[in-house]
Amino acid sequence: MDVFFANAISFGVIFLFGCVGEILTEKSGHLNLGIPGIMCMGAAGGCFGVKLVAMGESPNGVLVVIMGILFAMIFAGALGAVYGFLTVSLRSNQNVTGLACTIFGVGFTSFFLNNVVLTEGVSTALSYAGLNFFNAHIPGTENLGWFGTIFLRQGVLAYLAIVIAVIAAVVLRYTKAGLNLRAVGENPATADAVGINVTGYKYTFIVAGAAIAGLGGLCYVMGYMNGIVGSTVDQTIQGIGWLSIALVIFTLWKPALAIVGSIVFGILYILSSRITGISFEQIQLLNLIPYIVTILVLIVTSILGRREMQPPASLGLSYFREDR
Amino acid sequence: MDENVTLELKHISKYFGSVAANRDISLTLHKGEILALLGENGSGKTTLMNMISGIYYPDEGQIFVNGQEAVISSPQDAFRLKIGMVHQHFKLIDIFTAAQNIVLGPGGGRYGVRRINGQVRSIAEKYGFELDPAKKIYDMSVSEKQTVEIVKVLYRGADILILDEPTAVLTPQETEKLFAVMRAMKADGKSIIIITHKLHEVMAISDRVAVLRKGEYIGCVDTASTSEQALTEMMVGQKVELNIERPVTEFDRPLLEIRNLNIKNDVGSLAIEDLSFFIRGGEILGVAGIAGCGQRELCEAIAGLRKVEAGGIFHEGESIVGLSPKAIYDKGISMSFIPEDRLGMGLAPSMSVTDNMMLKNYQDTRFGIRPIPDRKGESAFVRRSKHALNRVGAFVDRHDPFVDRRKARAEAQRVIEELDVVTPSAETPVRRLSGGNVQKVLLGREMLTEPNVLITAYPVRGLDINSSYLIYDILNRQKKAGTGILFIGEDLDVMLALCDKIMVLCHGRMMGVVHADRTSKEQLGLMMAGALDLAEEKGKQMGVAKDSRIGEDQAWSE
Amino acid sequence: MERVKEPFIHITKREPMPWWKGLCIRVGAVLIALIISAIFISASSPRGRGFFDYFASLFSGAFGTERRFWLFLQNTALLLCVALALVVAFKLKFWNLGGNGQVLMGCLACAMCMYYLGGKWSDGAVGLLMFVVSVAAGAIWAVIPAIFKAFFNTNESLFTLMMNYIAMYLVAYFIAVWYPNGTGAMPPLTDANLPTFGSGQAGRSLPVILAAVIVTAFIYCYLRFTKHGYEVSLVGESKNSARYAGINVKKVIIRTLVLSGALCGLVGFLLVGSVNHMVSTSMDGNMGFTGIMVAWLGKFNPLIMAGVSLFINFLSRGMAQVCTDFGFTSEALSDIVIGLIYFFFIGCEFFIVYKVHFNFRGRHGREAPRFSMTAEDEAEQPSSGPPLSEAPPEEGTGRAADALSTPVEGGTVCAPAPIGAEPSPAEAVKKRRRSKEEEN
Repeated sequence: MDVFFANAISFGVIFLFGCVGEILTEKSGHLNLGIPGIMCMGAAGGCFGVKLVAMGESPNGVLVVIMGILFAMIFAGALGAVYGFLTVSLRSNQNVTGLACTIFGVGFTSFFLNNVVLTEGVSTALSYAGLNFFNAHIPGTENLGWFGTIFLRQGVLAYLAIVIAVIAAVVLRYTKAGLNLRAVGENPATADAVGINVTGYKYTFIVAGAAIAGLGGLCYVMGYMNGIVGSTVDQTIQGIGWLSIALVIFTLWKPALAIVGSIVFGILYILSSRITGISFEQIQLLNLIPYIVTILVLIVTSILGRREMQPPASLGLSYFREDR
Repeated sequence: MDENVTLELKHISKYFGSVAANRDISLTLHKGEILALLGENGSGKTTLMNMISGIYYPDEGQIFVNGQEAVISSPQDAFRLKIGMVHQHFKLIDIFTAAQNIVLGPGGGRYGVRRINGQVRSIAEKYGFELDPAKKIYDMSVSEKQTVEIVKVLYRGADILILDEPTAVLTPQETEKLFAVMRAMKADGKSIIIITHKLHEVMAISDRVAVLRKGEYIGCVDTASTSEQALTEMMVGQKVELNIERPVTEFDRPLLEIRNLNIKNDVGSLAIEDLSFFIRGGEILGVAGIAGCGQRELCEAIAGLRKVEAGGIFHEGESIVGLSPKAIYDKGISMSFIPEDRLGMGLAPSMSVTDNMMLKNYQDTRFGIRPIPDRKGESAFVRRSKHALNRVGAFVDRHDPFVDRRKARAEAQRVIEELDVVTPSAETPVRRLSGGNVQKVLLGREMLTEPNVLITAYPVRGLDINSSYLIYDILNRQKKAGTGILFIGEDLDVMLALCDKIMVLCHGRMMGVVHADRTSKEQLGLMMAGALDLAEEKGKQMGVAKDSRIGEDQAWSE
Repeated sequence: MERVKEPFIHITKREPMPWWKGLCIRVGAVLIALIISAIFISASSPRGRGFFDYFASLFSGAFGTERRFWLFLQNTALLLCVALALVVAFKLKFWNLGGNGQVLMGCLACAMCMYYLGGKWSDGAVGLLMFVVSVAAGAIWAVIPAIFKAFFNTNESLFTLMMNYIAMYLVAYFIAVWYPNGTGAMPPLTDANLPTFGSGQAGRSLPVILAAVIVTAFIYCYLRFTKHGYEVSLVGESKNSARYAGINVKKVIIRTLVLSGALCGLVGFLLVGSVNHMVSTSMDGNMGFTGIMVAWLGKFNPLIMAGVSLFINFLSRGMAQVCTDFGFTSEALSDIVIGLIYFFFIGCEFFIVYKVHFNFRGRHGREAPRFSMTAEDEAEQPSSGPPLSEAPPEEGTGRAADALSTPVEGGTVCAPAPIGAEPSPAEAVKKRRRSKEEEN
């Protein structure tokens, strides 16, 4: 049971990355449906970064982790920047642009992993020497009972996810930048009129959100899968990506709530693979649970329909200052 | 350069597409003066001010602030030059508190709520405002929102304030209060530009008046040395008869009667409370009240778009409570509603003029299947089968799936010709028409249905003087034809001249109905603010017609 | 006097463009994207194929053999059907991202009929039932989110998205029940064959293509000429206006989504009954998403959408060939190229709606009025993308309906009249200008 919850957390943080990334993006007034593709890009970038430094004789663990994180953020941020350029500067429809990003990101990742990272041509199980650095544990936590197993023996990315979520929560809640960001997402014309750099805020948080979401892809490949890159990795991450977007509504655009929400989703998601003694077809039905729960949450929040539970008012609308 | 000049515009022009919104405008603003910028709707006042506050960027010309040439390419630039603008449509974040809205702006770090609240209070005290910094904007009244806007500008240290139509949403008493604040700011050395098209306000508050017409600068005069008539001529460019006609008509029996009506607004609180009134054929009943005190809800409820909590609405003695717009239409009740949000409610902006003509009657089409007539001497069987066939035919006829664009096109053509709508063709999306022409399309469509009750909400909002007079003319024509008109208005001068009677609302309650020729603006203002309640004085009977068409039992069973 | 810097880039809205100019910009954007992809792919090809081989492979993939050609048309037909199904929902501003799920449910329902009844009933009876059940299944899958949207305003895009995954796992479940060997794959069924025109690929594809033609004509008429279509546009345009017109908005949302889902179900029926004779979790081929792009890029016009889906299928089939010919192991290359083309296509819309002014002088207070330099301004622009260099200097319009912006006489604005447009009488121009100024 301890192990189950530990696994749930280590899976849940993948959602957490995606969800916090999308929250930051949506707070700037942009619904990024490209998050699934962007998370895939993070996985591709992370694998690439790790490969750069992990192939040698005795790779430096810290360097491996840093390179993984760095390249995951660069790749994901790059696709986020494309999304930002199209929707902010060129004022394209956000839904369509997001979907195009997903199509591109998923395709790119599949191609890139096969042709560049896994140049041996086989895409089943390739692990590099340094991969387990992502899951290195804090020394001396082996025998601390259930608490230690669940909370102290997570990989570095899990703690990073929590830290990022907390920082995001503090920034949104207490800082001027967070206030300005929320103003941009609520009513860009107002924000503009008081001199806030609307375009700057939008770009910053779209790209930052994308980079954070990209860490989710890295976390899946290097953290949860322990470096095993399967042939359907792009499809799996895509599914996680969509759920992350749904999780944003579930958590009412609050990064702090996202920590809890993502762990719940983690439990639901890995449930089917952890319950023993059930048949193959029953597993398929268990797989449905996270999606059904998401739908139920969507329905409940929409029925309650409180003001605090609504998305940023200008979500999905592009802003042009000289519009009349 | 004159030391006393704080802001100077030189040869400013701004184009939207091929249309010149401002052409070659030069203007100066002195330190510590109130300059009124006068012009009709559409004369380019707001565009010009938007260029000073960095919303738009001028295509030509230069701006000097305190003698230095300045490039104002964004609101940040304006902010740095200590220019602040209070926009006509408030730029506030609804879900934030007043303090959060005020502190919004460039810069980072933490913001201490307590410190801001203190600063806000001290500004408010200095100029005589009342403001609760912790109140959310969506809980505020219009005048409170305006206060937040002004404090926001002052908080940010503006020396040049631009107020865009600040009085449009205020009662006469609130306007006075605002003017007092403006005088206090002027005494403090601030320079103020006030945009308006109300002449008496110009005369009351300003030191100098600059007049714009059709995007061009007409001239600048000292307020002390001019008159309302002279300013009007500068503004319109020709001698205009400022009098609105009020034809005398025979009043008919009540067409529309409202009894003890209660309606809730979108957030669930009572918008209209226990309201009774009636409209006779051939009269215009004005509804006065500060913005957002139940006018919209009232109109929507009468049109069948909003749920009635309690009370009755009777059209020629027939209750229409609980009927949908379609049900009202299907009953053959000829009632028209001109909503305030023309493009958001009355019309479909991306659709052509033609398609907009069909908005209410698109379901009327028929295939034109005629029943087979009976013949003499046919057997009962043949007759019965004919009848069965006719029933099928009638059913199919009713369910013609296609819209009739040919008819709509003819109607569009008629409206365009009769009301002189300026449009490239009947296939142009209404979104591309100017405000006046949009209103003509909407009014024209409703006139074609020959309504006997007409509900109009702010029908001249945003229109220039000529268009406005055309609209008044149309309304008077309808009135002469015996239509009962409910006129929701904002300009008391216009209402006093146009309406036969004026009903005043204050927070959803009726303050009384007065004859327009026997009241004054001051009285209306007091009633709007809730300080004078004629309904209370006269007792319950107010708003119930003596010759009501509603039977006693019917009225109370509702 | 102090030198002050003007903003380098200044964006304004354009007058509406004539359609051919817009078309040129779009075609230009696609061409650029194609050339970029050609350069990258030919440069990184393990087999050292060249730039022009890329285009040769593209064409051979789509039209190379008779079989390929018919497959190309068949896939186009299926994609177009999905896109048309989605477009009726989009006209309503209902973001139906659930095309995949609705198609899959159609597939599943159809496969169920074939699995349980195939060989027991006559082919005709099963075929008819397959059709009915598939269409109903698709409709149900779309109407569930629609009901919640209509009554509670539940976010439909995420709802439909989740429904995709539920459909996918339901398909997986039934395959696992039917073939409990753990592979999750289903062999083609031999019973319950639908009629074909002859035996070749043409014969098998023709019914599908025919269905698409009928659906296109139907949707075109439905949206354009019927009361239902009018209601759909009105609700999509403004819910308040629709209510004002006496329309029951909830009813329209639900009715329209039944139609949308039913058409997706129809595609499922064609996929399983006519094309594959089996079902798999990826049978939708992501057409639900591709269909969105088709609908959007086709401006929600069924006829343009037909062209767009032809082009996208040409690309995806052509790219598959490019992958083989150029020696790439992953077929995902086609997604990258298609994604790239989407980016360019989406991005170029900006240059159709807006106009970018560059300011190279960087100095305030020019002698000449800015607008008389429009033509020069644009001529000077660097080639910062195809749309700019293709945009002719004048702002005229050609379409009769759009002839709002013929030149204004006198003074500062001197835009030449568009070629072919009749010069308007001066009076009309004056009138128009006045009306435009009222807007401000």
